[in-house]
Amino acid sequence: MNEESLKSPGTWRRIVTSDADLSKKQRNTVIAWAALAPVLLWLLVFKYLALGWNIVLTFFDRSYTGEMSFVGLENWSMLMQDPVFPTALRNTIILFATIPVGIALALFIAILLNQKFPGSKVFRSVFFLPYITMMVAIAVIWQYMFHTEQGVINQMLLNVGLIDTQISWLGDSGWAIVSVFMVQVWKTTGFYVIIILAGLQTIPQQVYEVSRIDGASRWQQFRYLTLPLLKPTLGVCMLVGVVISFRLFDLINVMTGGGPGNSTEILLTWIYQQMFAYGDFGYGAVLSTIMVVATVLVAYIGLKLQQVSY
Amino acid sequence: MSGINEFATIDDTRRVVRRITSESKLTLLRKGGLFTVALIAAVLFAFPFYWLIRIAGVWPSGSLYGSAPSLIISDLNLYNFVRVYYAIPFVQYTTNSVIVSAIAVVSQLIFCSLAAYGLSMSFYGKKYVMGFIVVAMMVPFQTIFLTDYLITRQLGLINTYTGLAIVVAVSVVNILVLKSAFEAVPDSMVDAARLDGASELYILFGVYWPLSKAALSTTVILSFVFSWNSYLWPLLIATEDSTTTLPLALATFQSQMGGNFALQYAFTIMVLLPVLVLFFLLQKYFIRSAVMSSLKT
Repeated sequence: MNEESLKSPGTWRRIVTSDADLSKKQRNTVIAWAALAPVLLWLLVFKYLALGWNIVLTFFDRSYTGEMSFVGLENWSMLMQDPVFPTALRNTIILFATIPVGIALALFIAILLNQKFPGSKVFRSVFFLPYITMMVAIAVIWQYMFHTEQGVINQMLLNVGLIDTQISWLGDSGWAIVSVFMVQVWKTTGFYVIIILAGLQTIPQQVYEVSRIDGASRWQQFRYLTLPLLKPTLGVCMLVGVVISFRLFDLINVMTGGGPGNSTEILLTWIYQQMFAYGDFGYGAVLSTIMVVATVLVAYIGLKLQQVSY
Repeated sequence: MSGINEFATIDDTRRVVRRITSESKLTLLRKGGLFTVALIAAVLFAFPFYWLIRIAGVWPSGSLYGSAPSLIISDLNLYNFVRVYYAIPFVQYTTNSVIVSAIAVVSQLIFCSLAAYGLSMSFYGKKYVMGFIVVAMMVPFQTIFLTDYLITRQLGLINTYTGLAIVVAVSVVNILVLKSAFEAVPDSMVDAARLDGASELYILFGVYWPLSKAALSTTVILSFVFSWNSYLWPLLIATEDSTTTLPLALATFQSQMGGNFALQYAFTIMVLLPVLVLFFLLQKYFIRSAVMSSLKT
């Protein structure tokens, strides 16, 4: 800053106001940190400390009573001998696949509901209902519907003639995971429908009118207009889907209990088993750490997929 | 016919009328088709709820054994609800659920508002605080519930309402929803309040709050539903009837009652009722909450 510019009134005004801003910012800093303190403390304890302790715990043997002894990598090496871990990991990944399936289904329903016809608001609510329904309740409801002899699903399939012998939905290790998959898709689709509908409403109608003049077919409109314009919305669905996937603990723990055998075990239910059935917190912490990595990875892949062009 | 140009010939008029009617016939047909497809999908989606009511009304519940019941409701009976009410400490469980959810909702309203208020200002270290919050959001509670449980036990909060509510006392999503609502409040209003000598707390609760009703209702709905439906955490924390919440009671009831599905379904309806009633009364707000919360993640 030279002599000349200091003499002009504009500069002085700038300096004065920036001083005022400075003191305002200092004042704000005190207020903001005070207002944020409770939440920051909570995050520090229940997120960061928990995460840190989780990692520390993987190197210790910690009994239910709280005695700790350092065991090095022993907990990690247990992964190799754990016969259920591959199943739990596989099922976790399989059930993450409910996200794209649910989104595809929701895309179809949302485009349908986006047309103006009587009752479309009511339909929207019907699809949304499973999403706000408690997972434990869903597990109880579907458990009976999947019942081999008395279940309404087998009954209907038999009546229609799609099957000729009853399927043991929850008793067969192959069908059990299919059942869980279907229930999760049923629960989450309505949520995606709502989000995609909100996304569809942000697309200006003129875009479609112009493309109609150019002679685009409905499929071309969907493929080259709707889908690319919905990209951010679908990305949001993907990320939220990861969060919803954790509610699966409730479903599996109540509906199948991880069985039959350990065929529907996921990482979360297996961690819970380690804690309360075997009291092995160290190994549970190993599984938790893997779960954190898996989650961040899926979220990252979701973000990446969003950036890939259609 | 007033809409049609008075200089138009009769032929023109006829042509216009013909076009309008044929178009509306087409859309009507199209609308009918869309309606039918949507109806089929909706019926499939709603069926489990229909079945819930259908089975809960079966009495005597022993009649469920053997053949599968018919699809039509013909014998609705409320007796299963009465039996559930007397079979378990239902009032105690409901009270527990209500108290825990109330603590969660109030705590979220206060602490998330405060945090959002802080974040809506510009201050030293804001960048780091935002980073701190966003990174924490990427680690879901379910992946670290093991050590959260150990911490809570260390704090001596097992079998307490505080212990049950503590993990649902703060939610990053709600902070972000409230933050953007607060940022939309015009600066001039806040400045005016400051000139009148308003305190910081008055600005938050007296200026920001009345202007952010949509975001606040989102916070209330999300935190209530989340806390009311929560299962994993109560499963760890509540080991006695005095703190058992409804989802946990429902899961336990399911294993106690074994094959009696009429009773289980009746209890399920009793547990779901508060949220379902709220949903039917406030559908618009529920759906808006879902949209708002997801747009912030």
